[in-house]
Amino acid sequence: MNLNLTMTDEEIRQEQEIIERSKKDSNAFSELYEKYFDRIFNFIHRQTDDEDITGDLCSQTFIIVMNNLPKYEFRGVPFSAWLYKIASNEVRKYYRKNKTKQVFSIEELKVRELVEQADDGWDEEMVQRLLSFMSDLPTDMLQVLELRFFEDKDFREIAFILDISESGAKMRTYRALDKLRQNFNLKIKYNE
Amino acid sequence: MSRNEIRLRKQKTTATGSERFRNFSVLQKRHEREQRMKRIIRVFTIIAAVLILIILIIAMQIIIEVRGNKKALYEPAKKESTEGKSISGMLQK
Repeated sequence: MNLNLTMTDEEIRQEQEIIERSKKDSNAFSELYEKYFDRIFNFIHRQTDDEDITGDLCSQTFIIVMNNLPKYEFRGVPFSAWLYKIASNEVRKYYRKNKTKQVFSIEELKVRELVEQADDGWDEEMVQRLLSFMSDLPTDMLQVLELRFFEDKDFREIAFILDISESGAKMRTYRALDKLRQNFNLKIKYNE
Repeated sequence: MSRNEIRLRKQKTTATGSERFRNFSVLQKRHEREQRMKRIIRVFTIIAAVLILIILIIAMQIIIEVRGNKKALYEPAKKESTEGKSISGMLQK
């Protein structure tokens, strides 16, 4: 799997061609579906921790994308940002409808990466403290952190996905990181 | 009480997990069905709008005709009463 999520201009142009073809013929959309299915599935799964709910929300996301594809226009952010935006809205709708606490299911590996940057190194107790600290953070802050650290999105894309300004996305991230730094003495590589 | 629930997962989502839900042909069929429904609803809305417009036009025409008939019925009587008024006025003078 290609882990480099940033796209070159040529890749964006090629993708744009597929989108234009998909607008006329829905069969052409299968290429984009196969390309982004796992990423969107994982993104939603991280916010639900339930495969069945994730499957439903993921299908709903792609249906909305297909239904609205004729209206899609390139606005300076990759096509995937539009997919994330719709997926994020679907997750929000799901929690609003069910009135349950929002779940953030984080991979241990990612937490390990984060914690190992602390001076004290990996420590079970610290991880538990970190998780409980994170559970008290506002949902919008956690969403920004998730997109920044787990999805490797830049601030422009985060702003587009969450429908906030770029400076707002930066502010939320830095505030969350500041809190983490103050409480856990973390050195975070993504803070530039 | 915490605002969110943070869970720690041992692994990434399993491939079989996402594979279970990956089915483009099902998605495409659903998309086509929804598009068809959308088209049907659009056609029905247009037909309903046109019908309402026709009904409104017919109703307006009927109202205008009825008013016209009423006017025609009352006009000679009105004329008579105004003529009567002018004669009585003259007599008073």
